[in-house]
Amino acid sequence: MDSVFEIIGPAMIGPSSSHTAGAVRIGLMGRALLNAPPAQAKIGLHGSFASTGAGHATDRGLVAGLLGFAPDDERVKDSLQLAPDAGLSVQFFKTDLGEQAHPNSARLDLVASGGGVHNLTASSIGGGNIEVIGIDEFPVSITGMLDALIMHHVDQAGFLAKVTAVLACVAINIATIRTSRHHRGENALTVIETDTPAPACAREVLQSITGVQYLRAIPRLP
Amino acid sequence: MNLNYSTAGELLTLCAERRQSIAEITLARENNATLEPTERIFARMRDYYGLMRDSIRKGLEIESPSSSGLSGGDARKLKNYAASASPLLGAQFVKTMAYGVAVLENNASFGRIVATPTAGSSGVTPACLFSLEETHHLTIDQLTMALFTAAGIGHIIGATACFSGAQGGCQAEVGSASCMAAAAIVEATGGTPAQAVEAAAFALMNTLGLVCDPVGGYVEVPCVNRNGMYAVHSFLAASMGLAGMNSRIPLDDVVLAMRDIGRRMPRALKETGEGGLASTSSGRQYRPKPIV
Repeated sequence: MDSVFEIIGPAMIGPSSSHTAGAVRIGLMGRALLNAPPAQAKIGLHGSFASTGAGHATDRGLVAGLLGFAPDDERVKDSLQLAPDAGLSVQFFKTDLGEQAHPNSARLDLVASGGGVHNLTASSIGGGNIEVIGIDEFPVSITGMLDALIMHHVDQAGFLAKVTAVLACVAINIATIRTSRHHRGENALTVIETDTPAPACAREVLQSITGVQYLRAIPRLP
Repeated sequence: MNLNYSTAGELLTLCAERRQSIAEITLARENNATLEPTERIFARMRDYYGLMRDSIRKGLEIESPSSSGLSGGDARKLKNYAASASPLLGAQFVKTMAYGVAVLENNASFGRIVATPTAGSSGVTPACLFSLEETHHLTIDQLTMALFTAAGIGHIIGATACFSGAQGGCQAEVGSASCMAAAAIVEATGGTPAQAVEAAAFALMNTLGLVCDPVGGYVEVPCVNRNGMYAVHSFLAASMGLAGMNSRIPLDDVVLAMRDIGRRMPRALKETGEGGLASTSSGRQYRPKPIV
């Protein structure tokens, strides 16, 4: 726990911090990953998210986040009705993310209105705090307590040196950095958590590094 | 300047070295860790206290049942009883309960609350502080500092154990909230950091083993009443601390015990709806349809 506001907070619409507010925040992460309004969401619910989620409005929470509502937005409770108007079609199914998965977890398979396809797996770990544990089949660990940059790129020598050099130029302090890949020389995903958001100019340069397929700026969560 | 701590022992050492309260250390540590200006951190917490008061006020007005039919209107009943000729143990005791119940009734009706530390336990600390506002005429800034005391104790719990009912049972939710609130009451009413930590230990050790078995999976039965009752529990523990009682088992060990009990607690009693109150024949009647 880095901040008192992980203990007191968030301000949220009830009824459950882990099942409602955490769900909204997971949805918000999904929306940020798409970088566009979502058009389709296939949402797999694991464990307690599937079994007790209805009473806790987990479904409304996840969809509210995908629609860009904050956890304390009064519209959270009406999100399932508001989704079609926002051009979002949603489908829920039960999924098993394995023994190791936190009981409050979900996998979101998303299609953006512009056509971008991404997936995200996240757990609601208590008190409204979340951890994104997978993005586009790569293992990650993102809590949303810091600003984050997500870069999908070709695994190649010197890549991180270029990234850190760009951030150093604009005096952005890196809190954590992690690259994961499936095989050497293939695609990799790098997540960089920073103490302050990276400015647009830096993001533009990062985007232009050879081998970068996409870059997303994930703002810290409300 | 190293203000990091993860145990009550370390926190009390910092308090002694710097001659500061738990609240002051917690505020300074937040500033250190996040680089946010102190005034902004304080203002955000003060806003949260405002939201807590709003949720009490809204909850006291609720007359109709929640969508599950499991809660609604009880905060009002308690408030009216508190205003009757001779409520048991006095009006303030009943009012404190009413405030805790009010927040959870508001929560159950999709109202806005502040998770402290969770939504299911969001009534305990606000009820205690609002009650103190009435009896001790504390200012909003003093009550905001009390929230930093609560957060400082919560930080210790979070560093070792957890806050979610699904992982640790209700002892991790309402137990943690009551522990945090007990310390907040002590510091807000002039007690020392050591007394606050003792009070926190008494509060938490007497919630150990509380399971999370909410009926129908809704955060209502027993959660709504429990928030009112454990707000009073916080005052009991705070009184022990202020009286100078010492816990034979220090807070850090109580937190470890809470974690241990949480790990050993059967899954059926950790927010799965498969045991306890939720699986009784009357409880099963409230089962919602699963989402999928």
